[in-house]
This record gives sequence, C-alpha cells and structure tokens, in this order.
Amino acid sequence: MNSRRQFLLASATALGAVAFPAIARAGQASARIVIVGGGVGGATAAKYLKLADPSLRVTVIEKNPVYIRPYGSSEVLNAHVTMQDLRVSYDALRHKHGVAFVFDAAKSLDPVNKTVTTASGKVLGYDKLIVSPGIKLRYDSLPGYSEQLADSQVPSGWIAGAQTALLAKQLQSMRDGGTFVLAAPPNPYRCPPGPYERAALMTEWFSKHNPRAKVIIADPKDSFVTDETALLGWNRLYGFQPPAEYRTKLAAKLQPSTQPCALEWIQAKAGGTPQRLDAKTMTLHTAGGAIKADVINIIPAMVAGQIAFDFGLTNDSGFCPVHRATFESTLHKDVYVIGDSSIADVMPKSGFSANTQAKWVARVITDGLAGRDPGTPVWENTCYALAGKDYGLFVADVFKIKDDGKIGRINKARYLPLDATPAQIRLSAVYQQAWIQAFTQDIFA
Amino acid sequence: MRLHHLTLVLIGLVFAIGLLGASAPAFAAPAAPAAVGTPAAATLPPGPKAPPSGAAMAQTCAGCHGTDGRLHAAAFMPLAGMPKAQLAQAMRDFRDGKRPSTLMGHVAQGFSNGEIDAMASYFAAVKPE
Repeated sequence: MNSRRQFLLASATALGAVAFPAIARAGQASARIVIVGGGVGGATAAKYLKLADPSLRVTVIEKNPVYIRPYGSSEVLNAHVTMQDLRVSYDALRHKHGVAFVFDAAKSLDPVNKTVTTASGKVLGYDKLIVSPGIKLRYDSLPGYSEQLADSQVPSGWIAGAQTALLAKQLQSMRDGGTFVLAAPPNPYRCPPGPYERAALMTEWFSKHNPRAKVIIADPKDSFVTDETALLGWNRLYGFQPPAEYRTKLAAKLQPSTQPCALEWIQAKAGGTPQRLDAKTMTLHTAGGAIKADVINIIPAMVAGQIAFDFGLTNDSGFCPVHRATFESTLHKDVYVIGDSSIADVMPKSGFSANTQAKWVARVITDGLAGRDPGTPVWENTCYALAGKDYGLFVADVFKIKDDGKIGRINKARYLPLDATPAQIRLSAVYQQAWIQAFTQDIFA
Repeated sequence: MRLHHLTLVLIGLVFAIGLLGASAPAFAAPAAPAAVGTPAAATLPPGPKAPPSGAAMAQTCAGCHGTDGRLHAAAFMPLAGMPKAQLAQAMRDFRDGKRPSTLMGHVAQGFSNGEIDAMASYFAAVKPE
C-alpha cells in the first residue's frame, strides 16, 4: 500500500515534470489578451490577434456598444452622409472572429497583479494588455470653453457623436450670410488634415445653400500637413489667395480672383491664435482681435485618452512613451499603447497609423507567445482629405525605425503632386470614399 | 562612427560563422530575400537593417487593399492571389514613376526590390475568396 502510494506519487511527479512544458505551451496558446478601447487601434488589434491565433482569449473593454467612426465624420456636416452612416457594428468581431466584448468603462490598472478593473467593478486578468484610448479633448485649454458648452452650444465634434450632429444642425440652419468660425488645434492632434478639410467642405456646401456665408479658420499654427495642395485646391474651387510664403511655390498654378473668398485662413502670425471664447456673445477672441460668429466650432488641444492617465501610462507630454520596436509601454511591462495616445515620433495621429501599429503589436504578441522573432517592424500611414467633394488630397508614408532609434519616414514624396492632372485629383476623391469603406472592412469585418 | 562599429560587428559575425564551418560567401550572397522568415534568420540579431517579413509588410497594405488582400466592393485592387511577378512589377513601376498613380508611387518608394518580392510572394500565396 505504502509502496504503491509512493510509486503513484513518483510517477505523478515524473508525469508532472514531463507534462509541464506541454501545459505551459497550452497555457500560452490560450493566453488572455485584454484590449482597452474598441476604436480603430483596439478593434484592429482584436481582429488580427484572432486571425493569427484563434485560440487566444481576446476581450475588448469598450464603453459604447456601437462604434461611431471619426474618420470621414465631417461629411455629416455637409450632408454627404448621415449620423447613421458613421455607426459601425462590433457584430463581426464578436460572432465571426470570436472576440469577447465587455461594454463598460475601464477604470484602473494593477500592473503587478495584471488586472484591469471596470467602472461596474468587473476585474479582468491579462497576460498581455493593449491600451488604445484615443484622445482626450482639453476643453479647458481655451478660457471660456468647457465640455458643457461643447455639448450644448459650441460643439467640437472631434470625437464623433452627439456634438457632430449638433454642429451639423447649426451649420445647415445658419442664418443667411452668417459666419462660421473654426478654431484649429495646436500640434499634436488627431487627424492633421481634418480641420482644414472640414472648413473647405463647409465652404463648398455654403456656396450652394448659403452663398453669402463666410468661413474663417482661426489657427494657432502657420502651416499644416497638406497645406500646399489644399491651398491650391481652395484657390481653384473658392478663389482662395494663399498667404505670401506659399505664393512663390504655387505662383504659376494659382488663378487670380476678382471676388473676396468666402474662406479665410488666419495663421498664428496673422493673429489667428484662439485666446478666449465668449459664448454669450458668440465671440472668439484671438491674438489679432475679436471675431463674432453665428456658429463656432472649437477643436481644442489634445492629450492621450483619459484611460492612459488613469492607468499611469503617460509622461509629462500628456502622451504615452513606448518602446518603438514593440509599442510596449516604457512604464509598465506587458502593456502596449497604440494609436493617438502613443508617442510614435513622426507617425501622425491618424486612424491608419493606429491600424498598422495594432497589426504590428498583434504580431509582436503572437510571435512572442510562440517563441518566434517578429522581425523588423514597418508601419504605414495614408490620410485622404478633401478640398471639395470631388477634389481629393492625400498624404502617404512608410515608416521604419531609423538609425537614431526613432520612427522615421522611408519614402520621400508624400503628397498629391502640385502638377497633378484633373483625373488624379478626381480619382483621389473617389479613393477617399473607397478608403473609408475598405478601411472599415479591414478593422471591423 | 556608428556605421563603422556596425561594419566591424558584421565582419566579425561573418568571420565567426566562417570559423564555425559555414561558408561565408553562401551566407553573404542570398542576404536579405532568402533569409526572410527562415529559422536561420531568427538566430541572428534582427537589427534595424533586416527587411521586415513579407507578412508584416503585407499587413500594411490591408487598410486599403483588404485583410490579406481580399477586398469586396471598393475601388482598390484586391491583391490576394495576384501572381508574384505581376505584383512585383507593378510596385517597381509605381516606385520608378513608369506607371502613373495617385499615391501608390509614394508608398512604393518605401520598399526595396527584395522587400517588394517578399510582399509579392506573400500575396501570391493567399487564396482569393
């Protein structure tokens, strides 16, 4: 009896010793990946993790049961699409790809015990955590502005939702000959060509529906990413005359204009920097003076999403430092920060950046769990933007880690050429629409 | 300074492999394309100069050309199952300005011949739906 028990014990130990690596491997194969945020970054990561290894247990924590896409959302303002068109379902991720969703707000991180706690008190353990919380709008960065005002009277609409609908209603019902002021944000911010596309699309819409209306961009900057090609487009479409420093380069291509342009861009050096909002009188005070308006759209300064702060992932810049080769946080192990919240050097804060960062992190995690080397990282960005409904622009980038250890651009040319043919310009607008469709499929379908 | 150091390390590596009995020319000749994704490549430190894998590069195309190059109802070219030579030639022509494009020429500038071939091999092996 005794010896039999000893024998059983011994064989159990031996079995255990032999079986252990197999168990460990099985354990790794069904590792728990928690993703905070179901936007472009989080949803892409979830899909690509499951594609790479269907046995992974992938859970997304997201407070909204339906995604409202921010990319292309300015097209609600010019009535090209509806709010309904911005809604994207999580059904394919859940039922086709087997991603679990917890519709709740993530509240806190315990990086030692490796758990995330939600607002309702649910505790989720993880082996790897991906945090993709987007941006937080600093409504308080402009004196006189607040989130309450943004929700009720002076919308921002930079995170698509109820404010987008409010802004659309205000713009489409603006009084005849009224003034629309758009306060552009300081760098860095989400969707670099976006504020300028928004102003241009409204200029075009007003030209048909409210021809005496004015559009003013009050800018705390002197330039923006697609400026040359956008200003040329505005010249052709709206008779815009670019500031002096652009005229030399664009000279031969610019068309003279006899009428004042409905669209005005006030650079920082011309006094455009927004300084204070007086909502009562609907006046935006800038460094150069007061602008009274009928509709004001404030796109305020931005930092990493609130969750990044609550999780202790930010540094003094308000964004999240990461190891470039993996996007793992430099502050917490096994926590990866992707998308707008991460510090990714020259990569813009765009949906496309978040999408390729997410795919890379999915590869880093699945290869890491399988003991493989993920190799050398590569990322891309493509931002399409419109100067008008049928006038497309873009910026295109390929990124790798350069010799200085930072993420750098590999390609030289980035923009629509200044001598682009009418066909290339129109095709770029066709591609802008096609991109919204293809991109949404790559993430959510 | 940095480059010089890297060169020394590389020379050292080739030399060390030679000492171990592997033939140095064979190691040096096929360099990038053949080494991609092979177990031998994984034993070397990856280094920022090593080309990314075909799969990693292909993922960056998917935002416009569909997951794994499978795309439905959009204006872009689906890449899944495209013959390797066709895709590789198209990318070279976009890059070298021989074929007009909107932004593909810019994107193609980001990739070497070896990288383009690795990407094209990846897509050629994907079954179109």
